[in-house]
Amino acid sequence: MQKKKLEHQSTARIFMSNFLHNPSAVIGLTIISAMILSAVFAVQISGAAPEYIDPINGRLGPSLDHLMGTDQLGRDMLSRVLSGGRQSIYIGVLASFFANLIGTILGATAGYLGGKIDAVVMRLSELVMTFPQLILVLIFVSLLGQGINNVIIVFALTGWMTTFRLVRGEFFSLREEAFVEADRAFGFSKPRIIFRHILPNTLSPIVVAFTINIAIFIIAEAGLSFLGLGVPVTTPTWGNLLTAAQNPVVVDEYWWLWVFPAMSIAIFVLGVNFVGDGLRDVLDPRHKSLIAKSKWKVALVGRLGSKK
Amino acid sequence: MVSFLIRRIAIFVPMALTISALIFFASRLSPIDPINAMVPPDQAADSANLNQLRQELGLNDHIILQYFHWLKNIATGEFGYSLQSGQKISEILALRMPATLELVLSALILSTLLALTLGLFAGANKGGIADKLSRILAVVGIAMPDFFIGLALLNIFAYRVSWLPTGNRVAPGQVTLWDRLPNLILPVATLTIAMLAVLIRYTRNSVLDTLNKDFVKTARSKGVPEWRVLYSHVFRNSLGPVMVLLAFRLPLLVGGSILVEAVFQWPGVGTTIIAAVTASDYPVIMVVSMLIAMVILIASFLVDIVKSILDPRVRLRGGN
Amino acid sequence: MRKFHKSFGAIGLAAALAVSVLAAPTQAATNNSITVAEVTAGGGGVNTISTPWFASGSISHHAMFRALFKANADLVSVKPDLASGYKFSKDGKTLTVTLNSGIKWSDGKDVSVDDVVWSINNLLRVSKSNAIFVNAFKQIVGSEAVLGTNTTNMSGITTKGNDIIFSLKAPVNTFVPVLAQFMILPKHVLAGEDILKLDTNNYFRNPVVCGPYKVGTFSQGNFITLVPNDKYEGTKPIIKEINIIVSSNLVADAKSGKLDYFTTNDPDTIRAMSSVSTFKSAPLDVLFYRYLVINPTGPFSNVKSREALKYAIDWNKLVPAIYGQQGKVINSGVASGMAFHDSSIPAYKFDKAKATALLKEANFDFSKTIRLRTYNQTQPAVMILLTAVAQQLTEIGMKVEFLPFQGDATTELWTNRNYELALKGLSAFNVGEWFAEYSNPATFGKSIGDQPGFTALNSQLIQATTLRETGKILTSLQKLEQQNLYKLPMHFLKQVVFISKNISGTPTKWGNPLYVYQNNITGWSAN
Repeated sequence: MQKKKLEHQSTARIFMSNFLHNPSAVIGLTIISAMILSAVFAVQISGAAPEYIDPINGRLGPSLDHLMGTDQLGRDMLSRVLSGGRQSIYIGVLASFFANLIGTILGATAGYLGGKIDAVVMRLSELVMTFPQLILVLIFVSLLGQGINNVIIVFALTGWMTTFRLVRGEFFSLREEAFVEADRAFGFSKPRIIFRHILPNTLSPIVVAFTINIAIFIIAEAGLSFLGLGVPVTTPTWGNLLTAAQNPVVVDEYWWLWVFPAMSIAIFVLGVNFVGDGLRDVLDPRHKSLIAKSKWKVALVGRLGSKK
Repeated sequence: MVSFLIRRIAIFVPMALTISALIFFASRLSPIDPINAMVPPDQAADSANLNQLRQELGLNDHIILQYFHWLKNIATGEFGYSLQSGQKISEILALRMPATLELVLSALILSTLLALTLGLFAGANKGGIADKLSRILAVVGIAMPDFFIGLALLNIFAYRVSWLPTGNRVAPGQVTLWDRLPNLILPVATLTIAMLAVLIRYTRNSVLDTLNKDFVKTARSKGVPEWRVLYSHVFRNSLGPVMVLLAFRLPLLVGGSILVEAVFQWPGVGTTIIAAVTASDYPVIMVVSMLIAMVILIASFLVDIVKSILDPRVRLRGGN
Repeated sequence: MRKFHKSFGAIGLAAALAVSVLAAPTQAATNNSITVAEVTAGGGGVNTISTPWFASGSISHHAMFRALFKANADLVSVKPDLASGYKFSKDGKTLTVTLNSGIKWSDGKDVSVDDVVWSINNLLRVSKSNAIFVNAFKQIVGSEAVLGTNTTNMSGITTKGNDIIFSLKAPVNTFVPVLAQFMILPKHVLAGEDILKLDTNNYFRNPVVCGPYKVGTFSQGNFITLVPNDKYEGTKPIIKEINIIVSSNLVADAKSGKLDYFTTNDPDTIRAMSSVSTFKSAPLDVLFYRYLVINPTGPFSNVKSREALKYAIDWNKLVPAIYGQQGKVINSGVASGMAFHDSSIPAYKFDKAKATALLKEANFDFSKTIRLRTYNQTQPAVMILLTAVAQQLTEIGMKVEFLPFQGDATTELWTNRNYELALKGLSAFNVGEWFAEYSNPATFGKSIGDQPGFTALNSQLIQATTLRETGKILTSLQKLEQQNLYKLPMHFLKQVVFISKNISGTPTKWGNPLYVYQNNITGWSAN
């Protein structure tokens, strides 16, 4: 017992040390932490509440008083951009978590059991994956209505396939391994073999997929809210701030209303991708170069096919 | 091969039926009353008129009957009417499809050509200019949503320097494709940049993969000129995976440019979908999703065939 | 992905990609051709010409369709058009209209009394029509016979030679002005068509008309070109082509000369147009109401709580901040400054203490979520205004959830009623239409039930023959409105006509661009 714990600690230490020596991971982590902190302390940093209305001072350009200008109701854009991160990141993380949960459960089950169940889930994933994601999301939104929770549900329901394919692929190869054969010989129950024994061995790709999905969902939220179909407008998110750009006059004359939120999204998404890349290098030693192993490639093709 | 095809078709038909049922019954969960949706809230038309219309459109029938009715209509190309404009949906699609095809196809071709060229050079010359360029593009494509690229281009080229029009597809007096070209440039450029990112990375990796293969090393050791190695060995062998990726992208032809169309007010399928979802115009949503589902099924059918030609083992395993 | 280069260079790269930069073709207005932007049915591209029986006032309606009379810019007085004149009987219940002879449809057939009778009968049989026509024509004897049936004739319309005789149940003082808005359509083309779905009939792509213009080219999704109608008996129009387009960016198109005329109430467009020196503008006070429909069940069941909304929100600051000169805060259906405004109604004033006191008096339940809804989610200004309303209601302690309606506006507003406050707009033909809403069983009736008080006053209003009488009734209506506050009037929205300085011959006084009037379109010229 004691020994096992020690071993555990040392793997964690090796992981941390590898992670911290990975430049892209460190850069990414710095960006993400800085943005999360500034989202939490948005009011303190900007000196204004994001919802404070001052209609007389609407649409002022960036100045010392308002570093990112004000919107039409005179709300401070800096405060809104910073605090907009809260909901956007919240949506990204939660949606990614649930999408990964669905993907992992389905992937583990289908990968271990194979056969008919696998074939059916595989078809389903193919279908959902190739369906242009935004359209799928729009259909769900038109049925469920708007709201943060609905957005999260919709993203989880439409974004589980990458994880599913990764986990399924891992299970395909792992279920033939000696330790699984041994488990079966011991007569362990299927759920126990699947979730207690095989699953821990597939955690690395799941963690990477979780990270990358956060970025994808943040961008998806932005697109959805840009169309006015995402989170209710009274809640500032990066996407909701971008809604202003639907108005050609805003695109033309009031650039600060859309450039700053868009830049925030871009920077945060980059940060997440850096961390994802770093994690991939650290967690998956096979993945030394950009040349992916075949199952990564399958996952990638699927992802690309479904993007946008 | 024939039995492989038959097996695939045997999967195709039940899947199409399942999807159609899902789409139909899901749309009936929507809180929209199709008759009320046609009349504005100020309407004063007598409810007797509206009830007559309801009867005429078969909305008083049993829901199962309505489903089969809809299925039959869809199969015969009778897509029904939009709630919003009252137009025939087949007509809307006939009008909007070419616009989207024009946009997405141009972007797809342009991005493929650029990606293949850049990807080949980036892979062949790691760290060179092409490699650096492809990395920058990858970053842009990943971090910037396509509509943001569109807004930036719009702001610069349409508003700041006024070189290009602000949107729309055809203006009065614009007859030929050449006349309309200016309207096409910005949306196509946006979509191309957005598509390039992943495609370049993918081509580059595929090229790097091939470069490590034994037959390339053999060719080089035999003294085949480098450009020939690149062209006839590396490039052609890297094409396979890229083609699979492209086949996966076929569904984009119908619904792949929603946000870009929104930014540029492009009168395509994308703006139709947005308007339909905003107004909960569910007959349109149903038909468009059905259409996309069909395109996907056909595309995955094609992917399987391409795969089976590239790799005969697929045929034997039965298409997974 | 691993090593990164400092510059993202997205924009420079895009520049390189847009290899060939071509100047967009521009066409300035000439006598040969002008271009007009319109909102057409269905949105997102030119689909068809919208049915004039539902909404009129666009240039295509002015140019192609005709009514029995032509309204003046005030929309009340009329001049002869298809008809040479009219005569009311002493009791005001019989109207005789005499049709001019010698007027032809663009396919060469004569415009006859049959066309007029057919049009009026069938207005009551379509599924999409303007309330002013329905309200007026329902007053014709026998109108019940055609509603929702296959009967095509009501007994109250008869003809004698070139005379059309209307028998009314009671005098309707707006009947003639309404007839001046009602476009006569050709019976011989439409008689066999599905009338319920008339608004989507193919007829509206290339209609047989009797106005000075007809459709020349119809490029669906893109534009419609109108050309002079050679069968038109009046003065031939000067301009040879009117292009109808849908513009995604009015300001940019106006600047670049791709557009010569449009009307709008979008505050951003209006603000941006002030820098376009090639255009002149005419802001018009029109009866375009914006108001909150208040659900009288639930938290706002007490009228005091509804009254609190007048003071809880800083209307006088918010409306100008968002609509500028376009928006005018109103506290009554008859706004201050209009004839017969009841000056005893207090003006709105931002006063949180008063609002809180009123809410307390009403025993307002602050724990309930106030659902604020709109169906105008595509208008940025509406979304911004309501966001501010939601914020200010939150500040006095309410829990507010602001969302667009999920379902269609008609069902959500009148049947489902899952809201406490809902924004609605009304483009009214006259003040009477604002009050008529309270007694419309198809709309407000479903939410507030029968309103005998409003019903009685409304029917008196359309029968009133003198100004004094009208004034008295309007005052009573305003008092009744204030007692109930089922609608909270927010603001008027001005409509602005923008027209290229190149175009002359336009009317000195523009009328409400949402209706049809004598705008002298045949006399317009461009240089």
